[in-house]
Amino acid sequence: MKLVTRTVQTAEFVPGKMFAGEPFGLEGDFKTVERGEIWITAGAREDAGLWPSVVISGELAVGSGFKVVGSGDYGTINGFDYPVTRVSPISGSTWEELDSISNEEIKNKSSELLSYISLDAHQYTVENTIQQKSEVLLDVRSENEAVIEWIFKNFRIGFTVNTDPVESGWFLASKGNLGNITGEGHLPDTNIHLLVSWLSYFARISYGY
Amino acid sequence: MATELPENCLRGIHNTLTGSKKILSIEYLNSGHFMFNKNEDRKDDFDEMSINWWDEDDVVMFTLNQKNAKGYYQYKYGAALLGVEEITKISRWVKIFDDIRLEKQKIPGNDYHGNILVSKNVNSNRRNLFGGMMALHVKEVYARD
Repeated sequence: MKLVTRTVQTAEFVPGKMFAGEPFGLEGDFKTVERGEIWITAGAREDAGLWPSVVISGELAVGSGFKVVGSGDYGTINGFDYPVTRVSPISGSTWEELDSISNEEIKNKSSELLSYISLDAHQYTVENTIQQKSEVLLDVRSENEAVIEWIFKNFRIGFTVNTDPVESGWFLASKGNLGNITGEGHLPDTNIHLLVSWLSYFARISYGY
Repeated sequence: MATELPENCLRGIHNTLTGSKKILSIEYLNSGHFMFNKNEDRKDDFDEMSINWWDEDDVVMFTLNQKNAKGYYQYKYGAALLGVEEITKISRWVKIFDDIRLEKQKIPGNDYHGNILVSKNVNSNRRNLFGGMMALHVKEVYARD
């Protein structure tokens, strides 16, 4: 087993992700120095099969599937602890799309949802979602609407963020092996964190189906 | 639901997802691939999701080779096979059975063309739920390559 250690300064800081300069597997610790600057000091096992899962679309997401053996298994970003042994379902392009939303109301609500999805994915569901290869997509459908869809092989968890409360909501869609369960509900005035936690619990218990 | 329709239809897959820098693998089809559009020419209270009806097997190659006004393939990522039975079931599960219609609508150059219609009364979130269920119940995807 050979360890390779590198230090990389990230180019950009967005809550819930880090950009890395090059693809590599990691073993070590990372820390946030200040907004706009993150340093990762890490090494990688050359024989680790984890490497391919580290880089998502050329970007290193928080918690990509590398094993930290350095100063700890958690990194802190914006006050949230992120276990870094796990895979983030939110790719860099999704965060970039968030940045491009011009409507502040939609942008803020979408950001809140993505942050909680990121947090819950790491806290609860990841052992399962690694294997299920979930992905979170942010689709800006109009000036008034964005849809966040957490996509699993056999089910979808969605959030319709619309300037009109009547059009907004969350939804759950599943295939026959999960009972063709559908669900939906109101989004405004709902406790978003509890909602995301509840929906991600469905994701956790649905592993293997 | 309309009667005397073929058992299946094809929904062309193109990258309508403004937020997506890449197309996801086919098992990750999502509600964005099954969106309804407003057609100002319609005189009723429905929005449309364009499809091609499986009147004959030739519809597959016809759909895959359809080109847009700029001469590019319209459905770069293929065509999804959907069953009328599944569409009907989904409309029940999502509780919009009375708000969904299926129609044949030949248009110049495309005799297979038709639409899945949804009432304007159905809000955006429920449409997205319907689209998400459609994505999950695609029978097969045909690719041009």
